[in-house]
This record gives sequence, structure tokens and C-alpha cells, in this order.
Amino acid sequence: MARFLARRLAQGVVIVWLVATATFALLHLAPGDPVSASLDNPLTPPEVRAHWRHTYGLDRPLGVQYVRYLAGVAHGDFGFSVPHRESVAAVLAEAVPNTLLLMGAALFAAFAVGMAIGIAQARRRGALDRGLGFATLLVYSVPEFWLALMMMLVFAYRLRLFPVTGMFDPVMHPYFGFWGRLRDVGWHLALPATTLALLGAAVVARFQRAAMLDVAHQDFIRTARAKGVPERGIVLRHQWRNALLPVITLLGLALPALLGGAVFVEKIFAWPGMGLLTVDAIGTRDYPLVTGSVIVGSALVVAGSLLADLLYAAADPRMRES
Amino acid sequence: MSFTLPHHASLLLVAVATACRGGDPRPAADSHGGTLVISAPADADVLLPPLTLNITSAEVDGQIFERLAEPGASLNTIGDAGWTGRLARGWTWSADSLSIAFTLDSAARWHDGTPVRAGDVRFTYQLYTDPAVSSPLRPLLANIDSVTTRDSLTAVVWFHQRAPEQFYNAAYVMYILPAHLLAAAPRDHLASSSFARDPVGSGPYHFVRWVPRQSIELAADTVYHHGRPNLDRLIWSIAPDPNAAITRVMTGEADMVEFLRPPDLAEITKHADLKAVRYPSLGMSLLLFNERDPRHAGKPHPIFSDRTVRRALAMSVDRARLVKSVFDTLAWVAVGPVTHALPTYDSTIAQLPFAPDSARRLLDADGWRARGDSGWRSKNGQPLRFSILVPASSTPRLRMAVLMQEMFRAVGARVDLEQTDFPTYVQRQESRQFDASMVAVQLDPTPSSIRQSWSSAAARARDSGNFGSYENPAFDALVDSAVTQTRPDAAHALYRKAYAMLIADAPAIWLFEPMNFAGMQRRIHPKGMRADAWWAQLDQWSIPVAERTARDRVALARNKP
Amino acid sequence: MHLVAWGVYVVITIAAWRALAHLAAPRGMAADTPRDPWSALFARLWEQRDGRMAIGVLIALIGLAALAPWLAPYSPIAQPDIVALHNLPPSLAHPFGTDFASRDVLSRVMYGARVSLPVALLAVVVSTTVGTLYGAIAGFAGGRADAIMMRVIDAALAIPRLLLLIAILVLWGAVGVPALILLLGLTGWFAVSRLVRAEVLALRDRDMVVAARALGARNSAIIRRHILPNVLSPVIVAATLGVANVILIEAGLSYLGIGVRPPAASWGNIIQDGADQIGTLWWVSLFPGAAIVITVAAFNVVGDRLRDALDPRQLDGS
Repeated sequence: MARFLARRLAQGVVIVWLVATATFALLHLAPGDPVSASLDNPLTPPEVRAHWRHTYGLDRPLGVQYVRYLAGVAHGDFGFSVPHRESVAAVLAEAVPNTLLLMGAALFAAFAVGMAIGIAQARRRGALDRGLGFATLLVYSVPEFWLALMMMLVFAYRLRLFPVTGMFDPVMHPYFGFWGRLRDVGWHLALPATTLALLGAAVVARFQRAAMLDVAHQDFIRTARAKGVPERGIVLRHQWRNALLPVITLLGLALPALLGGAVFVEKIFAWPGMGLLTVDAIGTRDYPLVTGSVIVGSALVVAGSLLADLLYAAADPRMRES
Repeated sequence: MSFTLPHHASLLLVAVATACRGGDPRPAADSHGGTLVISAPADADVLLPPLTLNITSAEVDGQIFERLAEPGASLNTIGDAGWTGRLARGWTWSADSLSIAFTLDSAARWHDGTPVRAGDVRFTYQLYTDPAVSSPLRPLLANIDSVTTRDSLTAVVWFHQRAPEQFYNAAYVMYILPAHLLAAAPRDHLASSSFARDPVGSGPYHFVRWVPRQSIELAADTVYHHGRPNLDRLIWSIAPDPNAAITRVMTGEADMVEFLRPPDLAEITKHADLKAVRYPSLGMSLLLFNERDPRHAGKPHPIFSDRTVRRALAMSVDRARLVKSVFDTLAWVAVGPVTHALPTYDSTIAQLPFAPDSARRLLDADGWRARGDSGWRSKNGQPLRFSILVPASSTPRLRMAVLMQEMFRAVGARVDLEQTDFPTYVQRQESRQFDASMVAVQLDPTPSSIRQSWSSAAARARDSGNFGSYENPAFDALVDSAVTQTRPDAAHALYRKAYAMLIADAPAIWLFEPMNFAGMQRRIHPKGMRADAWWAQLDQWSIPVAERTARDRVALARNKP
Repeated sequence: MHLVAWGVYVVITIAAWRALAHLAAPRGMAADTPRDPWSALFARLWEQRDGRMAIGVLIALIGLAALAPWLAPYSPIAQPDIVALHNLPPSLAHPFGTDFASRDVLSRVMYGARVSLPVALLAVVVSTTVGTLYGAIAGFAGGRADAIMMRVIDAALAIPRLLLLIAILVLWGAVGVPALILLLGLTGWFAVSRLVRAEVLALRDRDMVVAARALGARNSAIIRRHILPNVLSPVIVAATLGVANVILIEAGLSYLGIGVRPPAASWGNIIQDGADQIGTLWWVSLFPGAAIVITVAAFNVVGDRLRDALDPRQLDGS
């Protein structure tokens, strides 16, 4: 087990390093200079521009810049974000918890609802299966931004059930007590999390159903049935647990999608998470923040898939000895 | 959705009637209270007046800090007619008009309790004009020679020469800053100083907190020297874009938004608790041509450095229909670099007509020939193809750009639309990385500010508004004469000549001047919404006790975190 | 003129449907006649009602897109009267209404199909080709080369595809449609390569491959003759589902203003035209959105049925 963990951690470091390198290369290949884009205009005298280049170490050869950057990252120094007037680490520290909150809520709801639907579909074939299948197919085929717009239109704008945008009430939040603040954030979390959860549930339901059907034909299920075990017991104890495995794999795949793919939801609902932060940073050519955000994001993804693998190993007895 | 005329007329009547209701008596002293939540479409950048041109920053600074005097509603900037003292109790001109002595109000205090002294005025002038600070407002103080203190409450402003706008330059440009708190701050890093994070002024509201990208909160200064402000708290609720800003007012999350678009106006009439308030404004939009090549520094633009092309393009656009399509009756066609609120406005100035046939002939004669069956023109290998930069956050400008794209196509010009998010748009514009840009400007309350946007000096300066790098010495000369002319009617005549020259040279296509409607909750009673600053008398806005909500009743004492 | 075109369209669609039905189950053929695998696969696909309907929808859509210049009632970019004819709700003259520039939304949606569909199909061709080659080489090579290649894939999968696309499109500015296709394709091949590698690893040790190698056959020949045909099935499924995915991504990018740019219409940028007045101008965003949902759903159904049909264990369908 320890060797497995150590190997995976080492692999994770390699992956994050590859991601950092790729991002660095991409940004420096792009037209325009990170400094010239965010600091000056073509009328700035060359001496001032040179001064800023020197301050940010951009006059060194690319290789040197790369090594210095990596050294900084190893110490937790991701550089300075000029548009935010703060260190990148500080900006990220603000945004990462917001993303985790949104992602966590959405993933939890998506898996809970999706698994329930998938199981229900597999248990009772026929009209319910077809109906649920059609519904999940439709939800699965809707573009994320369109669903977000519709949700906002109906629930926030027309029905006034939830706030329109943001993570908390910009006016009253500092005046709420602890429970008040919790309620405030929860109320703002509802729509963006539901949007993501709906889409996620559709994916999970399809997977769970397919996995359940796969397992249904396997020998041990037929044996259990022949032995007279009640149907419900079969479904819940045998079928479901074995069908869990592909779903856990899905969890591992879902993470990058949620971390970066929540861009539309975060943008439309103005949820201050990492997706929105990164897109804005790209727009303002805030290269240190873009790189830092991508690195942190990929580290989270690697951690998430490691977790998924551990869960897989825990759930599947056949894996345990490897 | 287009509107029928009678519906609109009644809307306008209602709005104007509401705006004229400003004759409310000032509420009784013990009825102070209320919270005003302003929905702002963009965050402030820095809350130090010398460093920013950002509108949200200006709104907030206008409450924290004070000018020496404020202009009247007519925005007269020649001499001191109509001006009232703010930080200053009064002023006297010297006999030769080369200096003005401002007497400060002895009751004026900084928010930390220290009395305001004449030394603060002198310090403020030094800060604004210090090259290390790089204030974009510095050119406006060029005529001021120095500021001295006659005694602890009298500051004297000395000028290089007599000029019609010397009082405006002395009183309007600077917000007075506390010397005792800023003297030690590093001049070239003022934006990151501790004062910038917790500004202290002498205005009616003091700073409470700023949560970046979320909100800015101010609380009333109960011992403000002009009397305690009516509203206890002011909160700017920062929305990610103009659409979200307006939606927040519709749903009651905010109390007011400073700009409504035509569909929002129609929407407001359906809400019993909202109203639209019309106020004069200095905003307008134009399509600016970049006369320098953004891809090769120092070279003229291959298309727009040619005056004939610019004029032809201006003549291929039917501005009246554009405005009617996007705004129906809620905007005017712009007649030049001026709006209705300025005294130099003149709707009779000669405009370039809408004449696509003439435009085509001009282009043909200039060597731009259409090739093949696509109809796109080119000259010496340079295609008549350019991109228009437009911020995604502004629907009217976006739509107008799409409509103009089609109009340009009709004369053989191929236009691409480059839609970016707002921060990128600002950065591209300020660094002049564009071919043509849909610009929305907020003019200064004086016609002389035309220099910041169109003079040759501004074209060559780093922090100026002349993003298109238009240069014309004849125009500069006209404006210089206008600025130094002391008789208002003569000055206005010279300005109009300058406008006519600018229109003829077509460095931009002047598109529209929107009618400004603020959307707000009915319980808000606004006052003194001036064209240059609707927030100019925010301390006199009120919410009647009977109409207050839970949000209004949060006590003032709970402000200190 | 239009009526004739629509008549031709309907006739062609029905004829295509009939032809496919005949291909799936030629009349007079005994039910258990041995058939070549592709024909059998198609027959199995056709058996399911939803598989048939999805294919029908796709035929109709592709026909619509191909014949749009003759079928569309108006030009998609003409702005006949920006004052009197703009923002009209759906009516007989304009079944999907008009937008702010008085352009007919139905025509724009039809022409939008001519952009959104080929972009997605071509992008998937790119990603499938690159992914298959990469995966086959990695699986076949084995050992350290395989391990390194797979780490690279892991890293690539750790970067969210959408963010990568947004970054490239924003930083490099306006790119034409061909470049957009390449970008979409080159950011989507990673999962396919993993799939192919897994298959190749499984196949590599099968008897016929071992025998072929023992006989001295060249690697490329082995890949071509033994491995690729077997790998094709999961790849086809992935490709079909991939098309659905790319349509959604392209719509999102165009909605943000960095995908297909005006005046060219793609379903995503038509939605953007109506997005911020969605309450009052609902028709501008609803119809292209519905078109996306229908198309993506159809591709998903076909992909699912293909997967079921190719599964050796023959799941019971309905």
C-alpha cells in the first residue's frame, strides 16, 4: 500500500511539473509580452519598459526564467498579480475554497441523485427506465451555459426564489451572525450548484445504469437469485456495490471537468471561484495568476484521482493485493 | 421589442416629472437613517483621487473627500458664477486675478478628528503635481504656479496667467488630502500605501471597508461640517457586468443603478416599487479610428491615416437609423464631441451626411477598388479590412457594431468584430492595440477637456485620452484660442468651429448620446443629480422614515468591524 | 422556388431513410443469414426504435444543413430593416422570429448548422486520428516509452479542456474556422489515446499477433491488419460521442465571443445575441438552444446504441 501511494505521489509530481512546463511554454509563446500587456502602452519610453522587464526578470533567457519560476513554485511563491495588487498565492487562497465549496456541493448532489436514478432505472425496466432515460439524455445534451441562463431566468429573475449572482449578499453579509452567513452563502450556492449537479447527475445516472446492467448478467448475481435471495437484497448488496467501481472511475474523470468546466456557471452566476478567476486573468494577461491557477488546479485533479483510485481499491477486493 | 410612441412619451413624462420633484423639504434632524445600496457595474481601482479616472472610484471618493468648491447645475466653468463653497467657506480674488485666496471652513475635520488646515491644500497641490505620483490629472493643473498658506485657514492659489477657467482648475480638479497622513507615504507606490487601503478624508461619509470585487461601504460622518448626512450608510455593490448590475435592482438586492437601457425602462414600469429617474449626463459613444498602426510601432495606420477613407466610412453609416434601431427614442444621434449638458452644444453644426454612393465614389477615386465578386476593396495590396474592438459587457455598442458591419459591407469595407471582456478592452484601448474601437466616453464638465482627447500633445503623451493619436495643428490652435477666450459667447463660437473641423476630419464616427435614466427603488428620494456627477449631493438624498426597510434600519454604531 | 426546394428535401430525406432501412434488413433475407460485421452492426443499430429515430434526426439535420442555401427563407446576414423589422416574435413570415438586426432567426439557425456540424465532425476526425495513432504506438511499444507517453496524457488530462481553449483563443486573438477546428481536435484526443492503448495492450498478446510476429511480419503491417480493425469499434463509439461534446464546446466558445465570430452564424453565437434580453427576446436564444439539444441528443443516442451493439455480451436493449 505504501509503495503504491509513494509511486502515485511521485507520478503526481511529474504530472504537475509537466503541466507547469506546458503552461509556461504556452504563455511565453503567445504574442505579446506579459509585462507590456499589463503595464504599459507603446508610448512608454524604452527605459521604463526595460526597468519593468528587469524587475520581473523577463530580460533573462527563457531557460533561466523557467528555472527561477519552478524554484519559486517549490517554495510556494507563485509570483505577483499586478491587476489584483496581491501575491498570486493570496488571490488563489481566496478562490480555491469557493471552488471546492461549489464543486463539493455539486458533486455530492450529482452522485447522490445520479446513482439513485441509475439504480431505479436498472431495477425497473420498462416505462420508468425509458422516461428517466429520456430525461437524462435531454439534460445531458444541454449546453452548460444555456442551462445556467435558464435557471437564472426562471428561479432568480422570474420567481425571485434565489439571489441572482454572487456568493453572498454584498450589503448585509458582514452584519450577519455565523448562522446568518451560512444561510446567506447557502442561498447563493443553490442555483450554481444545482445547475452543475443536474448535468452531473445525468452523466452519473447513465454510467450507473450501464454499470448495473453489466453486472446484472454476471454469474454471481444469477447464483444469488437461484439461491432465493430477495430481489431487493440482490440489487442493494451485490449489484450496486459491484456497479460502484465504474462510477468511482467516473469520479476521477469528473474532477478536471468540474474544476475548469465550471467556467460558464461561475461566469454567469458570478461565483468567485477558480474558473472565473482564471478566465479573467487570461483576459487581463495576468500570466503569473494564470500559471498559478492552472498548477493548483491540476494538483487538485491529481489529488482527486488518487483519492478515486484509493476508493476503487477499497471497494474492489480484487484490487487489494496489488 | 420596439415601443410605440405614446407609451414612450408617457414614460418620459413620468421620469421627468419625478426628476423635477427635487423640491422636497429637508427631513427633520431626527429622521436621519437609511442605507443606499448602489449597484455598480465595475469595481473601483484605487480610492486615491490623484491616481484614478475610474468612475466607481470617483463616486466613492466624492463622498470621502471634498473639493474646495462645487459647480452649479449649469456647469459654468468660466469664472466662478454658480459655484458654492464646500471645503472652503468662501474665496476672494486678488485685484490682478492672478491669485485666489480660499478661506477654509473652521469646522471642517478629517475623519480622524484632526482639523483641516490650509497646509493640507498646499500639500495636496504638491502631491497632484509630483512627477513621481504620475497623476493623469496633472495637465489640468498646468496653469497653477503654486499654493501658499496665508494663515492656518487661508490657502492662496497662484496662477501663471489669467485664464477663463482658472477657478475651475483651482477648485474642481483636486480633492483635498490630509498632509499629516500622507506626508510619509512613498510617492511612487501610493496605490499600495496603507492610506490607499484605508482612506481618510473630510467629506460627509467615512470609509468603512472595501471587499475587492464585491462591495465598498461608507458610513455617515455625524459631525460633518455641513450637517450630518441624511443616509447613514452607502454601499456600492459591485456586479460583474452592467446586466447583472441592473438585475440586482430589479430583484431588490440593490437600491439604485445609474444607467438603464430601453428594455429595462419598459421592465421598470411593471414594478410598483421601482422608478426611473432621468438626469442630464455627459456620456456619449463613438467609433474611434486608430491613426497609428498597432502592429508596427511608429508607423501610420495603413487605412485610417488616410482622411478620405475615414470620411467615406463616416458617410456610409446611417446614424439616425442605427440609433433608432438600438435605442428607439431614448438616445440622440451625437453631433460631435459634445453632449446636451455642455453649453457649447449645437445641433446645427454641419455633419457628414449619410451618403453611401458618395462614399463609394470617394473610395474609388482614392484608389480603393473592389476586386472580384466579393466586392471587398483594396489598394496597392492593402485590403480595406479592419477590426472593431468592442467590450462584451456593452450590449448597445455590440449591437451597433454588428449593424455597422453590414453598412460597411455595403461600401466594400470588410469588418471583423473583436469582442473582449471589459478589462481586456480597457487595456487594449489604453495601450492603443486596436484598429477601430467602440468607445464610450464620459466627458468632463468643461468643453476645454477636448484637449485631453484630441490634441496633438495628448496624442504623444502616455496617459491621455487621445487613443486614436489624432493630430491637427489647426485644430490645436482653434482650441487654444477658445480656452483662453474670457467672453463666454466668443469662446463657445470658437469651440463650435473646432467641433466642425473635427467632424470634417472624421477621426471618429460620432454615434450616440444616450438619455440617462437611473433606476431606483421608490423609497429613495434623490437630489441634485448633476450631469458630471449624479452623486454630487448624495449626502442630501433621503429615505422617509415610513418607507424604510430592514436593511435601512441597521444601526450606524455597528459599522466598525 | 422554396417550395420546390423543400419538396426535394423531403423526398431526399425519405429516400435516404428507406435506403438505410433496406440496408439494415433487406426484404426476403432470412433472419440468420451470415453477414459481414459492418452490415450486421448497422442492422442491430436499426433494430432499436430510438436508434432509428436518432439516425433519422441526423439525416434530416445534415440534409437541412447541406441544402440550407436553397431551403432558408431569407439570407442569414441580410438586415432588411433594422428599425421596423427587428425583434419580431415568431410569426408565419418568420417562424423563429427576428433578432435585433432584423435577421431571420430560422435562416440563421439553418446556416448555423452549416458551421456547427462540420466544425464538430472535422474536429473529431482530427482528434480520433491523432489519438488512435498515439495510443496504438504507445500500446505497441510498451515499456518505458509507453509509460512516458502515458504520463504526458495524464498531464494533458489534468488541464481542463475548456480553459486551455479559452486561453489559446484569447491570447492569440481572432482565428479562422480552420484553425478553430484544429484547436478543437488537438485538445480532444487524449481520452481516445488511452482507450486505444488499452485495446492494443489486450490485443498484443493474442495468438494471431504473436504468431505474426514470430513469422517476422513488420510492426506496421501488424498494426494495420490485426490491431486497428479491432480497435475501431470503441473508437467509433468515442468519436460519435465526441461529436456531441464538441458541438457543446463550440457553442460555449461562440457564446463567449471567441469561437465563430459574427457575422457568420453558429448556434452558440446566435444564443449570445439573445442572451441578455432572454426575458423579452426569448426566441433568439431558445431555438438555437433547442437545435443544439436535439443534435447532441441524437449523436448521444447513436453513440450509445453503437456501444450496445458492439458489446460482445449483447445486453438486452428495450
